[in-house]
Amino acid sequence: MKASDALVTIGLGRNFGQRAALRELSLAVRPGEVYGFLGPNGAGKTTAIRCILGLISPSAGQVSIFGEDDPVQRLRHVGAMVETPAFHAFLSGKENLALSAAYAGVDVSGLDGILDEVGLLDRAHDRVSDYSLGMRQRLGLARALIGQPRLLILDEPTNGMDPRGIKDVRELLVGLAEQRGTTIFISSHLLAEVQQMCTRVGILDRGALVSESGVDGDLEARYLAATQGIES
Amino acid sequence: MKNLIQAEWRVLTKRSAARGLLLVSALVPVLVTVVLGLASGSEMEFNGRPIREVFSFSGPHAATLSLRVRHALILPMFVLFVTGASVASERANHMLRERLVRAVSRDALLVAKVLALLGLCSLSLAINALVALSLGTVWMGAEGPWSSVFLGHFVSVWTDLGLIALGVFLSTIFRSGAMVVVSGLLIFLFDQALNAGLSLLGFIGVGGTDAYQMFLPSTGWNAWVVMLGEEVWFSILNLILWTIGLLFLARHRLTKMDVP
Repeated sequence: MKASDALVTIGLGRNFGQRAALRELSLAVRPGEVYGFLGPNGAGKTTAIRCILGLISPSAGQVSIFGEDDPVQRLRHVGAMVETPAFHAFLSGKENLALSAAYAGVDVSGLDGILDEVGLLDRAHDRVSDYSLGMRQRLGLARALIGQPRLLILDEPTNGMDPRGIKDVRELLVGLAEQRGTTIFISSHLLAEVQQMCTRVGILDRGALVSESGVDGDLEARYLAATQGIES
Repeated sequence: MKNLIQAEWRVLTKRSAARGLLLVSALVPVLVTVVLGLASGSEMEFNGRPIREVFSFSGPHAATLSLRVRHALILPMFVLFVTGASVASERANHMLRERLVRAVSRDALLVAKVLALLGLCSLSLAINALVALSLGTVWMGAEGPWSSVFLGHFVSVWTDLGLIALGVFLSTIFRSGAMVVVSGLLIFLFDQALNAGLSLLGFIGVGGTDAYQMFLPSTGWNAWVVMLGEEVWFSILNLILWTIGLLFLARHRLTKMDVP
């Protein structure tokens, strides 16, 4: 692990009562890398992401993003989408993005471009209550892209999307990594998608990182072996 | 910080609860002024005297009465409702999470939300005063306690801040706006019951009950009655202490809480 790494966690742990949801998670994501974060339901992926984003306090361990440890300051270069993205349903898609832009300290002039990137420009002024699940996912992704973050943390970003949407998102993310050098940390259940998009994967099982490798070869076999056949 | 407050203000003013508060803030002074105006010209009697000789009728008096109605019936419930929607409901529906994944501290979030809510309450007070004063003055004349009206509305801003502080604190405990309203109203009822019990004890000769009553939250929340010329300095001190205390507790809980 180097100080120049995009994301570093050292011994990250989180207990909920007596249950350890996350156990000594240590990983390092290099700048420009697309890192897949895999694991069965309940393995602790979202808990890890919430710890990294400072939404919950870890019971143990440290998180550093581009060398910054402070829970607030380390998010300066981060765009994130956690689980199903939430919006003010009574606001339009663009108004929701404007709210996030204000919190990110970013000018709203670039919002149309972001909406165009995710294919929502023509629906930008519709209320979010009229959006489908897949459109909400796209809007969540647009929100994560505000401010051209150096690190994108995405938790199941293609949930609820149709095959066309999944392909569009994959191409968008790969493009961001290749053209802008954006580092992407992505959790997903879709092994095929992860294999096409990521450069490296970590597999989480019962709160612990049990495997870390490249994406070449039979990823499914490795995944099943690492998770001991829990998810059939 | 200015950007955050403006962003929260934009969201707040699109909420139906906030729009409801502003609408009611405009309707109450209209109703109060109409009732006063009709009473001023009627031949009704009170204790054998014409009602127009017993009560005072003017624009400032309409504003005074309207402020009373606002505080007695509308303000606590609406402020708790709007605050609950802005904090507790946003915690439950993950909107707090979406704000905090930006490099924004929880302190900044709290300040932005409280100031936006205070702005809404101030606008509501301004509407109350402007509508009652303009309608009342045209209908019944301008002679009345102008300074008390302005002072009463000014102190009401800080009373509103006290209610917002209560709402925000309750929002860090409950995850629904409805629970914030219900628990807030239960606190008001408990406070009133305690106040009445202490008054009863004082009435039957138990000493020192006044001192306890001075520390009840309602003593602070009633600080706006300064417009009636009552002694209010201890009320204002009480209001400041409760407001700071509740905001401090809310900040402490917000800082420590897991954001779902």
